[in-house]
Amino acid sequence: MIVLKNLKIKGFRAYTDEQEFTFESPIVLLFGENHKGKSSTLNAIEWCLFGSRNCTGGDTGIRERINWEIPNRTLVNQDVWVELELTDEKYQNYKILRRWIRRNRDEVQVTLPNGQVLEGQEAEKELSYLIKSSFRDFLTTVYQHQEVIRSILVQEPRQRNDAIDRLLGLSDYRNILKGINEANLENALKNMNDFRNELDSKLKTAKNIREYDLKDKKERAFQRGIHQNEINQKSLIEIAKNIKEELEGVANEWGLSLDDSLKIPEHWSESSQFQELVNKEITKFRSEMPDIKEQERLNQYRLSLSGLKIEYEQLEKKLKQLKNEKEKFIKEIGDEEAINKIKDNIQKQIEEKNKELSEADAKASVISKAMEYLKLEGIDKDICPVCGKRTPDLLAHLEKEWREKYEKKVGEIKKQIDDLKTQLNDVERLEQNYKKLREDIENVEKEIKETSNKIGEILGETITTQDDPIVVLNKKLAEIQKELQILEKAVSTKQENLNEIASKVEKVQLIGDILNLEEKRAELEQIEQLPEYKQMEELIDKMSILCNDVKDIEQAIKETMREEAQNKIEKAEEVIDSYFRRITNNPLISKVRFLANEDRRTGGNLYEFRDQDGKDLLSVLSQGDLNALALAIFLGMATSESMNQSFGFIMLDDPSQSLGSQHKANLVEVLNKVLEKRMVILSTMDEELQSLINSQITKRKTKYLFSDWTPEKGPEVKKE
Amino acid sequence: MSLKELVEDKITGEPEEMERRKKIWENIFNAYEQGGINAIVSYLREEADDILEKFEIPQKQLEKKL
Repeated sequence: MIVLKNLKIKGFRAYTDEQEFTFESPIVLLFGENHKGKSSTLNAIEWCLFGSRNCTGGDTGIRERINWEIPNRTLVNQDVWVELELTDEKYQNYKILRRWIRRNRDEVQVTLPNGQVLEGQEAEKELSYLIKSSFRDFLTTVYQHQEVIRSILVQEPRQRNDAIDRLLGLSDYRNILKGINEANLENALKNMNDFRNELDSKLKTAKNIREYDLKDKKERAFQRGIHQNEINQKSLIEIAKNIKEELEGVANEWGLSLDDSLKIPEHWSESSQFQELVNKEITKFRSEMPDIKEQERLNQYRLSLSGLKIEYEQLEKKLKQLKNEKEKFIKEIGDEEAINKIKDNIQKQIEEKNKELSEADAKASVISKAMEYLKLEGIDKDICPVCGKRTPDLLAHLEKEWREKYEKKVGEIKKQIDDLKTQLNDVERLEQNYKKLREDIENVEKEIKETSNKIGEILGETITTQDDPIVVLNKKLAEIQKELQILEKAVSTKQENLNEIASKVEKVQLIGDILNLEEKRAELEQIEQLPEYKQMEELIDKMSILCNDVKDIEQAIKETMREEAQNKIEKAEEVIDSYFRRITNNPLISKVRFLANEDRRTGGNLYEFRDQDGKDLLSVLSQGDLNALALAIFLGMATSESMNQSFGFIMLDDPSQSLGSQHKANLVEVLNKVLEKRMVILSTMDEELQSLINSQITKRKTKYLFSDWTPEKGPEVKKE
Repeated sequence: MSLKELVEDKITGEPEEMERRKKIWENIFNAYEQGGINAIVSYLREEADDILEKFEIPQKQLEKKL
């Protein structure tokens, strides 16, 4: 068995400076508070023996090992190494030195008993030969990790089963099963099968749709008078030939040309193109038909004539209206000569009144000036300044005469003149109206003449003043109407011909569509026989075989894992039973049976713990009991005679996490038993456990006290 | 016996089938030895992808036929 002698650590995890440990006693104790470097010491032994490749990463089954950092974070030079001195079963000394190079890369050096130093692959090989154990065996039988006990303590059965798997050293099985499960091959197979099912479903739907379309087209074809025996390529080509001949006939008759690209189809698949071109030609013929052109021309001509007729009739109506107005004017007021006479008469009256006003104004002016004179100062008011005659109270007398006689008269004359001027204006306005009426009549007569000339021009004949243009126009319009009726009949007949051709083209298209649908239906029916379909099925089979192969392998792994579990349990069951009952000391439990069965849900291992009566224990165990169970399994596996251990020591990291005082005392009792077979390296912060170990462990002890850890210096370790 | 051999002994099937399965198991185990869980996932996915890539060709052709 391998026995530890000495350990040196430099720069590893919690350590910065070099630290040395000796293992000269049967039990080596690492005492101290949490985070002082105790676990790093145990980790250093593990790392030195198995290296970064084994100790780091999730595959270890230890969660904290994911992104696990080897070098101390504060180190500048990163000089990181661990050196172990140990002896083999022949008590020969070996020195193992592992040095950290970079992440996931370290180098090992083995110094043999004869002093020879091995390096690289040679050193790894020698080390492997020396320790004879795998990393998973080491975790099962040598190193009890804190996390395993914590996992056992959880109540969730799956996690607990996982933890017991790890305790039994079955992590590799679990990891391989996890990898197979994560590859999810079944999903790939499911996707392939889904595609095939969807394809088959689409195929069925497509067949139904084709069938429905075919039935619909055939019904339409029969309604169009196509017989079943005409639904073939030969008939389609015959009808197409006939159509082309008819179109050529129409083109010749109407002086039109047929598009050169119009070819008789050689295969039914050309029927759509043929239909398109024929319809284009029919549309062209409809618009370019000579009768249609003539119809258009005559309609345009009729429209022009009708326009002129309306224009001429409106002008005549307007002229008649103007003449009536003129006649009424003359009748009521008179003609231009009569108006002039009235105007002259009013002007004469105005002249006379102006004269009368002038005279009255002269006398009034003299009297007015005399009154102004008499109003002056120092003037004899009774002597007339005009005639010199003395008249008493002359000014008053003059004022009365001016007021009564001249002021009234002048006002009257002025009013008469204004009235006469108003009359004159009215007459002049009438004169203007008369002139306007006369001009309007002249203009309308001119327009009538011009319109008449236009009618003559459009009819191509001369319209004299002796002719009635309206009658001439009506006669011409009646002729045009007759011509249009004849044309309409002709056009209708020709359109009918073209409609018949169009109907035949539709037949060609219907036959083409039916032949196309029949071919597509046949294609669908052939899909399952296609090489692509067969290739698809072959590949699905291939994937199915791969899935089945992997399933069989999974089954083999699970069976092997269960057998290995059962085998290990069988070998260590007695010791586990003994340790568990010693630690728990429960009077109700006289026997613990540890069973590994198949978990029918996952196919993994399902562990059961039953008492002497076969009753389930897990459901009644306390946290302390579960902690004891984890320790019992570990210690049982580690110390069972039949497990062929190559290591002469075990490492316990914080074993009393959930143990009560009595459990702890019992554990120390068990440790005394274990110490008979193995050296124990125990790390704990539990003062009660420390005290119990100090007082109850009968073997010699080496104690290392961990305190005052600082990032720069690492832990302060004192040996006692 | 090693884990690899223990599992190999449990693999079942007709002779040809068993031979093929043992070969796959050997590849799974070697992948695990060399790169852990992720290497197993990569290996098996590569096997599946090889089939899936070939499957895509008839898949596309058949989709067009519809």
